[in-house]
Amino acid sequence: MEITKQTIEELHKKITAKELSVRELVDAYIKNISENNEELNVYLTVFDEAYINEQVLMAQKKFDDGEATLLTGIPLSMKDVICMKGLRATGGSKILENYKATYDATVISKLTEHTPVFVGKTNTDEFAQGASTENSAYGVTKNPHDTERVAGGSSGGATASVAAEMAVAGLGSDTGGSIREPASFCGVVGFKPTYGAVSRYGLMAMASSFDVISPTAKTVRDAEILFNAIKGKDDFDATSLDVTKEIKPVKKIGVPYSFLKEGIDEDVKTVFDTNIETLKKAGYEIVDISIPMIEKALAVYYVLVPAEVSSNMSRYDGVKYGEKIEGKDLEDTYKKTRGQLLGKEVKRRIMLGTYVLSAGYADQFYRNAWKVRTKIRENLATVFTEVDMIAMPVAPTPAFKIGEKANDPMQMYLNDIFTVVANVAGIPAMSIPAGSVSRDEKSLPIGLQLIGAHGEDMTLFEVGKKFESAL
Amino acid sequence: MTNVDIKHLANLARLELTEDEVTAYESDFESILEYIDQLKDVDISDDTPIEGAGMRNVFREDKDEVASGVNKEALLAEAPKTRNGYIEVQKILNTNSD
Repeated sequence: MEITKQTIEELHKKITAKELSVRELVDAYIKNISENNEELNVYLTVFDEAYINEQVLMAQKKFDDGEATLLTGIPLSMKDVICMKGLRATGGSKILENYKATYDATVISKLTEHTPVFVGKTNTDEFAQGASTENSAYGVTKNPHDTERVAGGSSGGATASVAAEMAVAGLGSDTGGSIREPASFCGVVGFKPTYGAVSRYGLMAMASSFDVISPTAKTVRDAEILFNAIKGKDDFDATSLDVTKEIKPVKKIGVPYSFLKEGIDEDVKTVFDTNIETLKKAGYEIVDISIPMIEKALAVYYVLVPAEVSSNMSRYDGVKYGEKIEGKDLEDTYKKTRGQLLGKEVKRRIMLGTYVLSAGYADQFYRNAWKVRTKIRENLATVFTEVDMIAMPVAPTPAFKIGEKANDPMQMYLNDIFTVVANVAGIPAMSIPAGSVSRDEKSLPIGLQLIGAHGEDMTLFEVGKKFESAL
Repeated sequence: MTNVDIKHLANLARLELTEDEVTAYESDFESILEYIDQLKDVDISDDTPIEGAGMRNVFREDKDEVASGVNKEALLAEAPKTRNGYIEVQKILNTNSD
């Protein structure tokens, strides 16, 4: 089998048996990057030869010394909202066009212990705000399955890097579906951990009570290997937790059928129905569930996220770091720098957040949204006493065409309808390649979403693997 | 619900917008606010906590894990304007009393 189609464990075995060198492995991926990056726009930064060579030598030495772990020598991509010391980190924004991170994110420090080979930084909607990478200041990432379509977002660069075999696996982030939706569109696995299971230290903040660094990979097992390497409590992130519980037996999988009646593409629904049959054949009992207030999750999301965005984006002021456009006085400098260097969606969310937090509206919107969020969490906790897991589609459609939704923010937001629930509740969820639909004579991948109870990340991997092998 | 003053919000958020942007945001806001308005009708008791997500105020001792000044040069190197080891900004207070 071609090197670039193999899983982490297969590659590890081959390098250990000296059937493959780290150099050969990395070269195969670098070749794909140099041939396809210009067309697909997956990487905003491809690391220079010297840095890659240095990592290759260190990784090979670890194998030669018998100290290699599963991730040693594995080519990985990092979403450009994750800081790596001394390396460019744009966040997909003009305002950080020449910014070099001054420290490593905790996930980078943890991965570095395994000596993988970081190959580059992947494209993202500006500060992870979007569902298609069309909000990147550096252009859209094209879908490897049909270059007229988006790869999804905001981690579209991350999932496309795996789909186009330009990295074995990668890290993105998920605030409202940003790893799962592009994973579904690109035909790869995207795993959003329990909130807090992975430290956010060194992740450019978007909406801090929702953001989670999230792996993407070819297989569920590969995503699990990455997750195991990055999870855990971290002194640098007060919201991080050792939350992941032991694997528990799963019998019942709930499907909120009444929630899936409207606003979903017929072909996507057909794929989902087939997936449910597959789960039944794999031995799971499917239960029709209702989750009270689930239909409010998207409204909750689009109040609380802009509120947190408006606060988090205040750091981009042209003073401490990043680009600056000087005005006649300090206030004018702030306004020019932010007005001209932040993109359309980021400004939209900053103002929306400013609005929902302003006196007179904060009760009606912000506080009410938090209360509904609490209710949804409670309702889900109850549901998880009746079923062990929930299955839903990932996105209501397959990958859409570039430009199709770019001028209608509400249509773009509705794309997140099935994914935001897990972020609102802080629970783990995964998109697994589950089928395909045909559009314009092209086959477009569709994912199945599995959602677990709080802290049941490991159980989610188990069910994910069973579904994967039952396909 | 309508007639959101985009210019006022932009000023509060320190964003300079063009007239075209203001017009576009006015129409975006209409549809977004109409959508999130559904939260108004949710029947939620007043004692439902707004502090959720398993989060509480989290404190820890400040153990001085990082020695003072060790990151100074690296951080200053990223600032748009510096002078003598400080970040340089335009003056904040207007000395005219108008």
